[in-house]
Amino acid sequence: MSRSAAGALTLFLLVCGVGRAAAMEVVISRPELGVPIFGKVDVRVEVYPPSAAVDRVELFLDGEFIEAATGSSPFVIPIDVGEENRAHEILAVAYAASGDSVHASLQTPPIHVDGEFKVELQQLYVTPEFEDGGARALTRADFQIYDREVRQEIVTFERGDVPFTAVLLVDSSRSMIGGPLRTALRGARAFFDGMKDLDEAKLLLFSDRILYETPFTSFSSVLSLGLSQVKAAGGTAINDYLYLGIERVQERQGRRVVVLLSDGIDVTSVLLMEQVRQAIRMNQAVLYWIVPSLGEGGGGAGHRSAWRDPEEHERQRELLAQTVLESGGRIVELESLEQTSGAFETVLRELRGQYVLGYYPPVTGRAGTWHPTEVRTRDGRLKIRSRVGYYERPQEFTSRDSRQP
Amino acid sequence: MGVASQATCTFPGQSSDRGPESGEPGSWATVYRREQAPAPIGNTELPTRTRRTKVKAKDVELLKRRYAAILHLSTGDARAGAARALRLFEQEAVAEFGERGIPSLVAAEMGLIQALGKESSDSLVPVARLHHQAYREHRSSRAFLLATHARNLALAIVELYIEGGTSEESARLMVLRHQESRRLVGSRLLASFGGDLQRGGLRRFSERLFRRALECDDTNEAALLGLGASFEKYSEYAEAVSYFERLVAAQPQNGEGRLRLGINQRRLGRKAKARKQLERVIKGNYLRWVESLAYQELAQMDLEAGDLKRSADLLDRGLERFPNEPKFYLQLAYLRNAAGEPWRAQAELDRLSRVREPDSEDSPRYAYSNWPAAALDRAWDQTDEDVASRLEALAAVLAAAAEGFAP
Repeated sequence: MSRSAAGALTLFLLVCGVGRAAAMEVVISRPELGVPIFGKVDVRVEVYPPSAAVDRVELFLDGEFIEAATGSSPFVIPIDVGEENRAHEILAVAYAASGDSVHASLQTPPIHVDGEFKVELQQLYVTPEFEDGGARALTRADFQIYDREVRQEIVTFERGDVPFTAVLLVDSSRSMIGGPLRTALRGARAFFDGMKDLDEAKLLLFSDRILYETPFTSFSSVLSLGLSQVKAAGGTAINDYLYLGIERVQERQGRRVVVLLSDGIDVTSVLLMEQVRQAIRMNQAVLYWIVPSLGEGGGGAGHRSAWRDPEEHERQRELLAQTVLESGGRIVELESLEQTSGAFETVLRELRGQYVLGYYPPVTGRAGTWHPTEVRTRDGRLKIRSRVGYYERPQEFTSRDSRQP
Repeated sequence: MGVASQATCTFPGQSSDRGPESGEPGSWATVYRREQAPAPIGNTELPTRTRRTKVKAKDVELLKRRYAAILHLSTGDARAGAARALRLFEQEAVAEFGERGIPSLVAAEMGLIQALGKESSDSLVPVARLHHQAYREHRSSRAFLLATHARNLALAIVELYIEGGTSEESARLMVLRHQESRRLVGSRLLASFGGDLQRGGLRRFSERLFRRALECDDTNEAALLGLGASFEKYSEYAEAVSYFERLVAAQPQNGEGRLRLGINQRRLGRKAKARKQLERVIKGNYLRWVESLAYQELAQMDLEAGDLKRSADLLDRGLERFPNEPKFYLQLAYLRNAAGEPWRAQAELDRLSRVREPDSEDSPRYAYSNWPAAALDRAWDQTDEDVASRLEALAAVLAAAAEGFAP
């Protein structure tokens, strides 16, 4: 892994030491940035390059020495931070065999507790994939929900007629000039035309800037108003505007969907896909990615820019794919842009065929706690897709009052 | 003059550049010969596989006269059309003489150029520029064989100019002042051409030109930026840093150089040095995209360090300076969410809705990912001045040369 890739993988401090140790880097890759911690926590410390001769890694919590670990990277060191709701600082110092050292630190925030505690109904959108490609009606009894490995009672059960709110993000960078953009927008129109009365959508055309953004509306005429004026131009900032799309849809009630049409090669974003992934884990939108074929050796492979080397381009793209699948969404690959309308219709059809299962989740009271979720079916052969988990939201965010600035 | 000579006008290492005008041995290069060729840049060997194509003296003489007329055109009021005329002339020569076209062109053009250079090395500057413009014309009309010819001829002329036109003149003009002037002008011509090749995707070739430009003037801004950006794009960050450091040392006020230095130092893990450079950028008064990026990068460094407050403060300051920079709002929204303040994140994104970026400008991150355009434009403008001040010299030697043509 290149240095830049190592830096991009984490959101944490990388501080190089002096002398020979300057070639070595240390990263705290767990806990994750911005996540409050309580009780027993595993701290994961990674040293780069992995071949570096590390004598030991010392771990400090809030200024106090905790433990020294030997062996090889990654070092996983359990600590107990207690149950007090407070910020913590974790410091890892890696010593090279030469005696030089490098260190990394991570600050974790406290939970803001000035809001009203309220347990919200958790919804899981479940897409069954029948082996024969057909569709059969399933009942509540066909599903079992597990949250943090504990079976939950399904309190609401609905088919995909539940209204949705969607953000359609269409890559309108320079590579889409002319025909490709027109074809892509025809696809978006097909999506709007297939929406039902209570569905709403927003169209957001982006390159390395926002070229066009509509309000949320159920009127397809509003969604395509002024579209003919838009000219594709500039680079591609997928991460930035995917993040924006996720945040935009977060403000809406009910089933939330983000549909991205792009080749997935991000060049000019300031945000990393790791940060987008964190947002989607927090916000629970389902992400669909319609991706035009890039031909042989496609993907990010071989693409290089002033911002990323080919490995990092590829890694960001793979992470996007992973984020889509984790959200319970789907990647729809196109052989040609002419298939765009069909792809949007596929997404729409899938949304109509989804089951929406609601349950009251086991709240830990610790914002940022990862809740792995699993939906099992009575028919074990039936394949289903749904999100793999979510971050418990901060308490005050569920409170109406606390939403006021 | 009028000898049916064949001149090799090639350029070192051309076979390593891939592309339609890459000059692979066995294609255009086969018609070039080493004899009577101006010294190539550097010492790289020429392609060895060559094929002699017979050139007729009368063809060369005819072409030389037509070529002289175009050069004459380039010295007068109608000089804006000279590059197009040169393109058409070279296209017709190839169409008229078939496989003898390029060697005949080389013989005719180089024959006249060498004659002009003997009289006045200054006269070569406008001629080099004219062939540079012809290169652009051929490229845009996708005539890659002729683009390659124009490229190599232009560079050969620059070399001839740097060397002083002829050995006799070199001896006569072995005065430091003249040498220095020639080297500076030559450096600008080379860097300007290097920039064109870089934008055309000829990486190795452009790097060689930039290096040669630096041999002539080790502070050439376009060459230092061009080389640094080339290494940066190919992830050779330590090399990139070395060129940006040289640039910043030579031109402390060069904002783009300092920005790229800081960003690449960060990639190498030299956080303190990176921060120092980026902080100097935001304290300066540079182009919007340069300063804006320095804010973004510094904020990202603070975020990585877990210092959310410092990062947010910096972005707030950035917004005071550039309230229409959408990336600041996105970074702030991320920071607010990370700090457990989603309502403030939404407020930042609401503000983003009201931002109107200037359509006329590339976004800062897009501008950065392009080749350093401003420096190359400056180099081009400077060579314009170099050319303008030497048009009289060219006109004078052309008038003298015209007398030598057969009726």
